[in-house]
Amino acid sequence: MPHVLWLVVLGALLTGYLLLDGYAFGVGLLLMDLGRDDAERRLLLNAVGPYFLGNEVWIVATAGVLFGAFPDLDGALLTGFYPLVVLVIGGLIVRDAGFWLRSRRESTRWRRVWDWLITGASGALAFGWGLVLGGLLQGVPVGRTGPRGAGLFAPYSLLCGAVFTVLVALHGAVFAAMRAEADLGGRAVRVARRLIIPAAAGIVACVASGFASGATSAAVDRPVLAVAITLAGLLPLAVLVPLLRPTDAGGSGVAGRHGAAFTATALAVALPVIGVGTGLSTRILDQLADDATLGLLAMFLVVVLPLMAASQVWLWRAFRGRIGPASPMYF
Amino acid sequence: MPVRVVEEAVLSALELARLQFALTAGFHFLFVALTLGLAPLVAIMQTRHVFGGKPVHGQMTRFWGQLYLINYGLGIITGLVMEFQFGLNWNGLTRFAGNVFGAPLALETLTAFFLESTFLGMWIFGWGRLPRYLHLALIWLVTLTAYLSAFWIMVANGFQQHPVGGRVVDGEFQLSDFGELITNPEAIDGMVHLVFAALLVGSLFVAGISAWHFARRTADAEFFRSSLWMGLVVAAVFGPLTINGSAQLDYLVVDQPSKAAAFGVLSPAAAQAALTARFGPGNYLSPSWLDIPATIMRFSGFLFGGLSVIVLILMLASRGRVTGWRWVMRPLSWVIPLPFVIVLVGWLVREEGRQPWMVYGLLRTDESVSPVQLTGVITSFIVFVGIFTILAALNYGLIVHFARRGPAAGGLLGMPGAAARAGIVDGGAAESAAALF
Repeated sequence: MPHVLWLVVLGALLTGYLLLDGYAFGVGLLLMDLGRDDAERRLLLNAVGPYFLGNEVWIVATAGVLFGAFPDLDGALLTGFYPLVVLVIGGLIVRDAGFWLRSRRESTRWRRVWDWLITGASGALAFGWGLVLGGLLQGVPVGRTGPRGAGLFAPYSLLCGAVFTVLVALHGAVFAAMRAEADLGGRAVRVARRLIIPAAAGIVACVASGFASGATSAAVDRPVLAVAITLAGLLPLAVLVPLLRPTDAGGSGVAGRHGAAFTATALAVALPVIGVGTGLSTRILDQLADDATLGLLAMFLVVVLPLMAASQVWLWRAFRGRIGPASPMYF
Repeated sequence: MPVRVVEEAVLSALELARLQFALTAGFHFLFVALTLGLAPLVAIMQTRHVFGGKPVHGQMTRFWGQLYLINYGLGIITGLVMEFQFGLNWNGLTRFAGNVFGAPLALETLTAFFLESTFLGMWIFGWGRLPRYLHLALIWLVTLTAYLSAFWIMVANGFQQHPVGGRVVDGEFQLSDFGELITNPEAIDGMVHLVFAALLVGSLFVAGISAWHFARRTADAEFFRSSLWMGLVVAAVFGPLTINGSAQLDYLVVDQPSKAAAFGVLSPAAAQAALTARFGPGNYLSPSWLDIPATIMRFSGFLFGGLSVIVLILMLASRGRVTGWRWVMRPLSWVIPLPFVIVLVGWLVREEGRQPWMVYGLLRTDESVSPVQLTGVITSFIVFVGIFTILAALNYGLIVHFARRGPAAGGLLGMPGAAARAGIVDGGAAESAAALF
């Protein structure tokens, strides 16, 4: 299997993760804003519900392929970005525990605490992943390097953190608009509309400031292609404006439009991530495992990737539609 | 070679990293053991319900399934940390053996975990929504993929215990024989032993909680009797089978003499001599206290299996009246935490006995740690171990809470949120609810 395909697999898994769990980050971030009472917040969590586990597996698969096919990069990256890894994994644990445990007790205090933890952890996750992407753009770790410490929180990284947070908040709001009924769905549409311009401006700012500050010049191999793909993320954002009409109150009449809007925000999250990966492709490919190992993994991937894809498609089709107070809830 | 100052820092970071791994892996395994042990039982309960139609089996699926899910979530959450911990704290291992160690871990995520979690999410939310045979198939798929997960992890750990499947070239271990890797006796024997131990954990969990309810004179007698039977039969069969762990001693004498010495099959002097001959001068013996957990572990399988057999005989002889005998039911409920302790003891012996090697004979533990400052390791220790401790406490608190309530308390799987409270159910959910109750 040609080496570049491994980059594609790794990239696809990470991109898939960020555009899937990304909307969960967004819903978590907006939980207290969109959800006015316990019932609404529970509904938001259960809108993510059936997909929650299925989304998360993508990061585990990414870590797996990173470890299996790019073991040196795995070590260098996780050690080099040590504080960010602790932040992101810590956030993931707390957010997951929140989803899992929040509604297990009736107590209002229990639920309030977990709601705030979910919101905070989702924010940490969104911002943390932005920091990771920004950090990668400033240099992919190589070799047995130590942690980069303060460099991980450089201004450029902070900007990427903020922009990624806005992007996933938008993606989450659109997801909520697609899945929730009437009142809640309508509010989600309004929140989403307010986030379109900040998200677009953010993407442009990241690209522009990367060039202007020279922060990314050393690390990025194919700047033109990388930037083009990243800026292409603006197109789906533009498409959102007609798709999310302010008077939409949710319900089956606008299902098609909301579905298309969701596809648009998914692309808006995916394209910048793909852009980052494209820009760093050489550095990443340099750290591939031996051909013997790659051959072994490829054999399994050929069998398993279709199964993985099919299981996800089955998941999405089985739980399509809006959820309301009478729908089965677990979270 | 590291400069003295760095050496000192690395040494303490090393100890902390080791402790962090031990604690996070230990917590993770507590949840995994119950997941592996309880999943087949829940799957059997649901199978009996779908094919037999008796409401009690549907109730059992939902009650025990609720406990299974609470625990399962924590298993996944703690597993996330494990996946990243190698690259984080142990990048010496990933550099040396990444080409071979990374493969089973990658395959675990792709072939097992990915499907397992996707299907579990569908099982949780699919009650009454998916056709019942499909819904049943999901829990069986989840069970199978969970065991497949365990297999891949044991392949990785087995490689650490006894590196096979390739050789060292230019300071890196290169994979050349995958078949050898997955048929490594350390992996296979370890896996089989782990499966038996997990089934002991899960079955005594079910039996013990059922016994607790009988000691409280529960009104759900049929429910808990059925559960008690199932738990006791599985424990009686698989408890004694855990003795298969001893089969590993045959080759441990040669491969890991210090671990064999902890089990008393080799004298410490002989072990030290063998290891010195192999690796040159140095102290290779495991700490002397390792004998104690080794001994505890060896006899616990028979102990718990035997206990289950005794209670089973009593059940048969008394025609079920033993469920009214508090002096039998109460002690049986006290047993619940013990298999959890034993499996941790087992892992302690397995891993401590491997020291000072990260990959036996090829890479030392102190050569494997990442070049991270002590402050970094302290931070990750506090974050991960701190959060895990809190989550474990919450997990067991919730399990105790729901276990105590019993099946009649409601709020079980598959009930619509607000509708359940209001006593109203809609559409498909109503059918399945009626069928189950």
